[in-house]
Amino acid sequence: MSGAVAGPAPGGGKHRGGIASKGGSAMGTPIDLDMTPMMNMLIILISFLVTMVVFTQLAVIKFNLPPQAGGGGDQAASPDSTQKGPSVDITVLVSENGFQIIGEGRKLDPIPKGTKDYDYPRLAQFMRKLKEEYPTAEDVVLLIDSAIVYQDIITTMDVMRENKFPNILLSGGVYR
Amino acid sequence: MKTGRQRRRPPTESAKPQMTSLVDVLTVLVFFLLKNFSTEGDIITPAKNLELPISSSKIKPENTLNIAISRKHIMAEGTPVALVDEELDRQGTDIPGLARYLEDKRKQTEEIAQYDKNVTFTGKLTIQGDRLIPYFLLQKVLATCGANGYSSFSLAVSKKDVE
Repeated sequence: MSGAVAGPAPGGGKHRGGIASKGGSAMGTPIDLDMTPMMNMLIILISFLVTMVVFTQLAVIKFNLPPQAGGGGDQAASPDSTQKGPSVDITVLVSENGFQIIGEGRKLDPIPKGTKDYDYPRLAQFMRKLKEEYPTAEDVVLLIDSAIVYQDIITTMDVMRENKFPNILLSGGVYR
Repeated sequence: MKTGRQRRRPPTESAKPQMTSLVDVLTVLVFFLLKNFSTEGDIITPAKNLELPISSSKIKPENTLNIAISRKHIMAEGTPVALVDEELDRQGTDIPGLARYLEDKRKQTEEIAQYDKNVTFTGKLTIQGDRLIPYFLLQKVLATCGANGYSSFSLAVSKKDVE
């Protein structure tokens, strides 16, 4: 029985289905490749690579302290940032109740904290408005209360950067 | 009687899966993973037992001295140098354990720099902080690093998935 299958196919066409018949080898006996070792290798390689893949993509946010600062407080004001354009001092106060933007001697309306999270869209809106008002301003000082959680600081910094205030200075909040 | 059907598929022959397509898929998968793998080359490894905050920043991390602040320990290059609870209770801006480590490290680098022109002390530092640490603690770490000559910080964050 099996001899009939493996044997040479005189008629071609009808005798074997699929690719083998179209391959059209003169002998008519397609060689059966043993794929098993290759499959083994590929599967091992894949499982290895999957375990090595880094799923959390890392990034960084850069900022500088002026050299030799940080002894007393941690005023991260960079001295060379005042060189370009008239400096506008914009301070964003981050407290447990929400944001308050203070700049150029006036206070903007406070942005109260929502029920569980800060009102970042509102802050972004304010910063956009400020950017329109002072297009050359690039510095913003974050005055952060000492109990504020790291994630909130990072998100606030994100909002600042997204609204074209790249020079973020962290200012020492209120010490306990 | 032998019909055509019986001659083509005799009962003794076992069914074979189509290996070709399987191998195709696996090969494509391997190439895809390899590509991902090689681009992730020289990255800093995220420290265990802390969750980095999520940010929209896209700046690539560099390989620098690594400070990690988890919920329990402050670690420098993977070795714990201070306890978080102790530091939260301590007044002032200094973290003695961390300060000692950083000073040693700086002296070491400067000493090497005397003999090797390729090595310079840059004062670069990567800080990995858990997303729940208070600013008070971060401030202390920054102040300690600043006081010991490390003034160029990278705050490690994990990228937002939204692309």
